[in-house]
Amino acid sequence: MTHRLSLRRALWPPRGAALVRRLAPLIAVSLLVVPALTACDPGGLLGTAKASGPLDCKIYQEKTPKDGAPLLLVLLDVTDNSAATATRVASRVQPYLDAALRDGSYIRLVATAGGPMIYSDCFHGDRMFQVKRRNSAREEKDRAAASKALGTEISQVVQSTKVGPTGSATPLLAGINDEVATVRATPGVKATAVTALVWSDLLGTGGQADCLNVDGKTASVTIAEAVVKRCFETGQIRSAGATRVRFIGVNEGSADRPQQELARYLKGELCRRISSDCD
Amino acid sequence: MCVGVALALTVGLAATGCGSGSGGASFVAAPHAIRSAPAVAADPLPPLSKFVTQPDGSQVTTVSSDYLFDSNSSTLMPQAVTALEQILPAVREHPGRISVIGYSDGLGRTEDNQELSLDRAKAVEAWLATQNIPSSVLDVEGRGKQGARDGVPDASRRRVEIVLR
Repeated sequence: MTHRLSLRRALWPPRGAALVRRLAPLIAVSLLVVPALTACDPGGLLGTAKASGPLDCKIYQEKTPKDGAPLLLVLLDVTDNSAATATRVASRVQPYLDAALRDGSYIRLVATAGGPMIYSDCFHGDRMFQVKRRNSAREEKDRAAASKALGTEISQVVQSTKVGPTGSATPLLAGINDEVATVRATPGVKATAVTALVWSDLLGTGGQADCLNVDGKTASVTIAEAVVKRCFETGQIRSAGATRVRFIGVNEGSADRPQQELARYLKGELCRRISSDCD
Repeated sequence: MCVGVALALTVGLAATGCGSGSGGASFVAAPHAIRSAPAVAADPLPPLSKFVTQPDGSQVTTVSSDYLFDSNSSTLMPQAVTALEQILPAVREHPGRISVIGYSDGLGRTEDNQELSLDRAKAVEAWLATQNIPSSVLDVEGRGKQGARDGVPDASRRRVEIVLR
């Protein structure tokens, strides 16, 4: 105590100390009032500070029950990083976020746009997302707010992804098993059923070595079958086993008729080979 | 006092990390870019109107289920109508019975494939009925995996046959 007082005196000479004493109440009030007036988040003072980034995802997370929780693996093949596309992606993912927040689920997000894999600060897959409250009305309200916030996070991932001139969904599909294994290997994580949600138009332009490159191809069932068969025969894409796979980006953009047809055939062929539960 | 208020405001903003623009500081939109779309050539529909005479004298035409239906679906795609319209003249002129037979590939459970192939044949029959082809002359059958290699997703097996008997 003596040491602390002497230190204060050393730092604050008598006149300065008097000034601080006069300003102390004003500063204290300003710490709470100013952020409110400027629409800033005072969470830092109230114990709910954002860890890093624009959204603290921990506030939407709960302790995982003993029997584990399902895993939602969100895979984004970003071909257009406009705000409009980002909104479309988020809206297609939204029902899955709603279900995750209601039932409890790990969420891991991986995005690519022809370059390296991009991982989300929020959706690591290491903690279970869920919003539970004692009051059901409150729970519903908080869950809706959480869903909106997580949707915004996904939209921002899309918009912040640098899109290259070429690419395809091949690396994302090839990585499903590894991503699931990574989550399962995380200490404390017990992932049960896995759903891989794939946002991709499946219209790849990744170069000749990329098995899902369909540049110059004809929109026929036979071609789609051959393309996908090659993906699996060369090991560029492997079966995801019991993982539920949902393709949500096919024909959501401005593809022309032949592109739409080929994308539809490719989705069917991929579904037949990648998982026993695919749509 | 004014100095005090200014100092307090500054401290309030700084201490709570509310500097200008910090709310979304970690979100920086990348420059807008779109991946080049691949050039995909259109594939003409198979010549559905061409019926092939079988050894028993009946005539058959085959259409890929992938043209008519989405994967795992028995709802006709909008463009399926264009394909089916090609066979209407021959069907209208045929005096005998007409069979609509669905097949699946060898992937998946036998009973699921049986059901899907039958549902798809029924969907074609239902469309023919809307074209004033009386149901009384139409037979519908689902043959599922029949003839397909088990576990093989062979596109040529996924088809609907229309047989003029």
